[in-house]
Amino acid sequence: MPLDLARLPQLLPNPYVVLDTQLRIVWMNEAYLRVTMRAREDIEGREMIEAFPSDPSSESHMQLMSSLRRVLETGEADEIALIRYDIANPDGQMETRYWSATHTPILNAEGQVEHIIQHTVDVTELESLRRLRDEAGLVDRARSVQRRSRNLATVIRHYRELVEQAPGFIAVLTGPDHRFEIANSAYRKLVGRRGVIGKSVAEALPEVVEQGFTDLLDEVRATAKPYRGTNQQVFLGNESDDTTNERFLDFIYQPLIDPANGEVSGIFVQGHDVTEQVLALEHQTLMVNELNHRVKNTLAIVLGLAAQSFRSLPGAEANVANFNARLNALAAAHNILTERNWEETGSSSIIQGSIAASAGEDAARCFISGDEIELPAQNAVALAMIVHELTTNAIKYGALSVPDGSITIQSSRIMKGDAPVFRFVWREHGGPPVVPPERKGFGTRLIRLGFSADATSNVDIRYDPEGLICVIEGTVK
Amino acid sequence: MTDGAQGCLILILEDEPIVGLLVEDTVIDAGGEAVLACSVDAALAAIAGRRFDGAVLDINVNGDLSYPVATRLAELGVPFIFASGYGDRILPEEFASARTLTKPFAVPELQHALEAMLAPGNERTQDPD
Repeated sequence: MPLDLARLPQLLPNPYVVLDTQLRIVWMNEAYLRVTMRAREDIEGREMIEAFPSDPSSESHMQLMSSLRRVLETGEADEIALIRYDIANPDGQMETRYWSATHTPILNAEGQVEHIIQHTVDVTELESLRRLRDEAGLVDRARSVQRRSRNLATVIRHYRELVEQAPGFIAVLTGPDHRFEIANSAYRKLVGRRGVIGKSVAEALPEVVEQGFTDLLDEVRATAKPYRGTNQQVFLGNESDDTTNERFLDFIYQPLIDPANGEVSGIFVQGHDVTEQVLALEHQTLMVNELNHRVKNTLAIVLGLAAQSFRSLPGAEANVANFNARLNALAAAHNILTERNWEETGSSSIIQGSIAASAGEDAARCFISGDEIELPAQNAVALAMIVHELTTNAIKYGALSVPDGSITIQSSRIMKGDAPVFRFVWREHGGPPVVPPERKGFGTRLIRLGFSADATSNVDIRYDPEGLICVIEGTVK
Repeated sequence: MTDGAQGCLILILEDEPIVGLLVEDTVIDAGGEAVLACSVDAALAAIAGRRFDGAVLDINVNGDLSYPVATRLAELGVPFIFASGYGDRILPEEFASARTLTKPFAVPELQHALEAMLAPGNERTQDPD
């Protein structure tokens, strides 16, 4: 007679019960019903904890539930060497029972837990015998050892998961040839998902040897000093083809010191991939340069148009020259601002740049002193245009119109009430006697606007016979 | 008006017509004659056909760099100046000593640069190496 495999589990002398992922009882064999003193219809389809109730705060309850949960979380088998779990007998009275149980997961094709088989053995008699013989001492000790190792295993698993799921890449290298002991998910992704554990860096990632990374590791090992890489370029291969990828990394090689002998036992590698940031910054720089190039080309076209438009106009040469000079001053300010990415720019570089663009060699007779004040882009452009007008005026009528004249320019930060104020003082010396102009030209009007967009600047132009003095005070930002 | 380019033939490589006209007028006003090329290929063709006394080269011409033209001019011993809107562009080492006009430039600056370029003794000769 052929063996009926389908009936086999029912005939096995050991008790088996199968739970689904909700921990509901979906199947059990005869031996299980015998040992638990239940009928199939009483427990089938019910949650295990409902079929065999226990106080949720009791150790029995927690021990059983945490073992089942571990199987669901890890997909690995779990054992309970000894558990006291009391059950009701057919008269409804609770009986003290000791069990030993194994929980084995049944995985589906995707590797996910679908069911758990519990194999449980009633060890109450064994336990009672032991209890008598050992007067409870031995089993209690065994039980506490089990509890401690269970806690330790939980802690280790917890830390392993933390490392594995950390957003940055982490690896631990040991030995003189830097063998991978740990490499977390982010690290494996970085190196193209190649299997690295147990291999040396040179074996696992041959492409990094020539790039100097094994030398760096050797040095960290030899000197016991950490190495920190910032925006460091690396070319990494992957397991699917022969190509390499350029990445930029921020990382640290931290020597791990063995407390027993004070020597470097390994290297902790930790960092993150900053490729996106580095590329974004490069792209931004490129865009700013390109934009600046186009702005300057456009200014060149404007100059060309002006020259073409006014070349046949009698007497327009001086006006065209003024126009050219102003446009050049604007371009010079743009140059400085571009170098600083249109962020805050130092007052003295703006003043110096504008004088150099307007006065050429005569800039040597202009002396700039005082504090370096950081100015936002708009204030910086306004200041550059003011300095250009003052310089042009000095060349035509003031200190720079004679060989011995000079100009001192002082910038400082002063407090007006609670507000910090930028104070700019332009003072000409040694020029011809100053006569106030009869009408306000464009230059004067531009200077009188000051360098604040909100028109809060205080502008004082004094036509001192000794030399023109211009004082501008304004809140910046 | 200067006459610093009297009788000189100047090559202008510039993809922006209005800027090219400005340079051309400046050369003519200085007594010279100008050939305006709007691409690197056109400039190389012009050099192949005529002997120039000097050149004004935009660096970025419709996305192409004008360095091949500069190299050819240097081989022929023709002096040249660069004109560029890239203020911070680092020139290749072989042109590190070349004069560069930063755009936007005004006519007097250009006149000055042309005179300096055409001054006697300024012919570029190929390095012996």
